[in-house]
Amino acid sequence: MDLRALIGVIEIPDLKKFFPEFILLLLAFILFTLELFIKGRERKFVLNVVSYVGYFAVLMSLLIPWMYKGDTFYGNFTNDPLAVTVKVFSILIVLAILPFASSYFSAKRSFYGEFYYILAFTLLGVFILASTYNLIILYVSLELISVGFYILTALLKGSTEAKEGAFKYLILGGLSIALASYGAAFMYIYSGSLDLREILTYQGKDIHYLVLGLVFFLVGLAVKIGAVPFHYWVPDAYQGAPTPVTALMASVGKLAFFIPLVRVMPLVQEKFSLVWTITVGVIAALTMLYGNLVALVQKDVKRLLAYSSIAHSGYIMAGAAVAKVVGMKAVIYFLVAYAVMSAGAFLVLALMEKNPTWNNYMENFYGLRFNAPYLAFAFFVYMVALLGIPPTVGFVGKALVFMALSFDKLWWLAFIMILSAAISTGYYIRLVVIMYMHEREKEIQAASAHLGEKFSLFALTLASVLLGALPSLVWFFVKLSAENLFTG
Amino acid sequence: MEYLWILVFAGILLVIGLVMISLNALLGPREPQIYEDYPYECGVPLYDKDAQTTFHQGYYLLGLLLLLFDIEAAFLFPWSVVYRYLGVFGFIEMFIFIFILTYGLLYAWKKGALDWQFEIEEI
Repeated sequence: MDLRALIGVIEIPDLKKFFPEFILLLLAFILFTLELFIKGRERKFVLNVVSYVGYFAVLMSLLIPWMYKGDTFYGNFTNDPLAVTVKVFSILIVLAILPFASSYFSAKRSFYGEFYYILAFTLLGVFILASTYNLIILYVSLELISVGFYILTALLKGSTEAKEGAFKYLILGGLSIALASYGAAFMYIYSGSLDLREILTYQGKDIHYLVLGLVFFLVGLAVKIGAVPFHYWVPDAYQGAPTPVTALMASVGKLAFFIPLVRVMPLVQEKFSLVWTITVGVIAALTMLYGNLVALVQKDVKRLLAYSSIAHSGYIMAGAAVAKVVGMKAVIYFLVAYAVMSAGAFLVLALMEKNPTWNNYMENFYGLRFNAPYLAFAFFVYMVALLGIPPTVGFVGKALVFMALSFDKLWWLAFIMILSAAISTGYYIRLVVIMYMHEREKEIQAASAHLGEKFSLFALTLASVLLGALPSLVWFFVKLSAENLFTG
Repeated sequence: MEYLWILVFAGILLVIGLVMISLNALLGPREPQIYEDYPYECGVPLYDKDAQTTFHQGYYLLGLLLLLFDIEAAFLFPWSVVYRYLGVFGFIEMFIFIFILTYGLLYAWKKGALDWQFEIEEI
């Protein structure tokens, strides 16, 4: 065989398109080196400052106009508006979580310098996952994110719960990636290509290979996003993990893991569109109902929010069942909205947990408005947003999903969605009632928050109201992303 | 059909293996030995007779580092086959790859992953 023909033309890739990822990679290596060599008291300060500067640099580099289109690395790395949207929002949320992380770990006496570079590498995984169609690169970046999350989940000294959660996450995550790569193998058998665009537009005879491959791939992804019946790791991992890490997993993790699903949506063809709608729709219906029903009986608020996260995966998947441009807009908007809401809700818990007498149980929330008025108000806003009352982001997200479902006349799914949203009232409103309409049982002093924490919590609370009252602020991104993928 | 001979070959292998094992059982002398039920552990004396205790983390770290260089070798072989066609670009790229892996090893070394003088740690 002629090797020359096999290799093809080797060309230097267009590294301009890879610029933000390049900065992020460099940042990760710098943090890696600093963590190794800097000892003593200034260690935390240096790692924090370098992280902030690096992430701001990445954010700036994302705003360069050439980021919005073009391929590089032989078409394996695609920059389009969807990728840029995901990257911008994930880096904004990481910047919001970062101030909480350092003070949380100090309060828990469990400061690990490793946190900073693992976070950077995880974000690199998110960036690459957001802009690829190639199954191998998809696999590598999914694993980069997941391995980062496994380690971050366990980074709490003296907590066996964190270890348990991390181990469950590791086992189920490993299983899921095995299933997804098995599915990828079937898709390769079908089309002889690893590019999702080529696989799904290929007119082959053995369509059952494609369906088998897609089903395995979907199951693998469903484990990652925590959809029922593949959700078993979610409550344990979310509860056990250090709370800022939980905020990261629920927001950036969900944003990232949904991207392969979103990228498949425009490629769903007529011949298997019914299979797609039914499979995704049934998983979505089960997820919404299960998540909300089980959340009703939770005593631990962190675990309750984990189940609410499962339920929100269901809402987003319901939008994904409509593989049209309306469904896609709803999914992208809801992903951004959920990232903002969930990050905020978990960060309130992170702030309260700095007080050692606080343990996230419902009893501690009695009369929170006396103990911590500002935090109680922020938490109230997040509960209202997660429930989906106007004028918050949650309302607009749910309304968009409902519109998409009615556009496709999927009334059964729309009905289940409204039903489960009604069920969810039970626990969100109960938390609000407990915080605002009960006397406090014991006095819990809210731990002092430094300026960065106050600012980032304020920004998230404002965002979860403002983006709902004026959706046009993000609608430009959402519209551009969705329409670019459908019309090309 | 050209793969049929692989199946035949596998069958012959299976038969030979089975015959060897059964011959051993039929013809071999039966004298009880002390080491017969001894769990094999790389030729070193056993730490415990059950072989069911947990190993120290360092053991797994060493395994991971071994895996690191296995991967490196797995990528180096195909690279060296097509090296002539890749030119300077391939050369530089492989050096970046090796640098990253070596950097990982240096990190593990500095962190004490190769240091087998254990102390009791808390989780």
